[in-house]
Amino acid sequence: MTRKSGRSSIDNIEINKRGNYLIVSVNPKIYNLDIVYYAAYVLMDRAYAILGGDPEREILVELKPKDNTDLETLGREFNNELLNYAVYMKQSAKNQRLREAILQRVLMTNLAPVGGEEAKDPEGIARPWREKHGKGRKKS
Amino acid sequence: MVKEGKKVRVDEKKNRVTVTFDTRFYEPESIRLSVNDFRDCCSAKLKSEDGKITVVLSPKSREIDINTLGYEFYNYVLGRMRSSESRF
Repeated sequence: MTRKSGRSSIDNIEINKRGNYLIVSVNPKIYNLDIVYYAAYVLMDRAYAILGGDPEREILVELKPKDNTDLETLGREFNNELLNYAVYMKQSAKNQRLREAILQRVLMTNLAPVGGEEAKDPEGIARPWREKHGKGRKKS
Repeated sequence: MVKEGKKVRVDEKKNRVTVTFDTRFYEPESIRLSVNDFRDCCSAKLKSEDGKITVVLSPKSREIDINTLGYEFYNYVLGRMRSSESRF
């Protein structure tokens, strides 16, 4: 941790106590912009977030707490959220094929059965009410 | 990134706040929609130049805190981008 006048920095967090804000620098090669958006969005109810920097080299996220939240804690929580969404996205990408297969299976079960035992309708349950009881019904 | 809060410039004398958006991070469409949503409580001007969009907001009521208005607007735009689901 290094200290300059009213400022301190811990790893990727630069704290400005006078201005009551902090800047988290994010490497876009580790955490892409979508992950940064998610992390900023999650903290939106507790802090104001401003994105800047260079999306190719270094993303800078300025966070200003809405209440008396400790600046260092807020910065560390932001780092945790980055990690949280990075893991989520990685898992989500891994499970993509499985999710698609499950969804496909679910949709397949909604198709009307063709042939087989279910196709027979001895009680006439599948026949519409109008056809059975309405005007112009077919007499069976 | 302007580190000393220059992205939000408050002019208390003229009762207005100027916020600057980098279009590499913020979608212009979401900014426009947010300006439209803020029209009930603020007068707004929108300027666009070299990949940056500047929004000048003047609150219509004295009850609105001009020091947090710019930051609230930044958060609102981020929320707008989330709800449009086009970016994340």
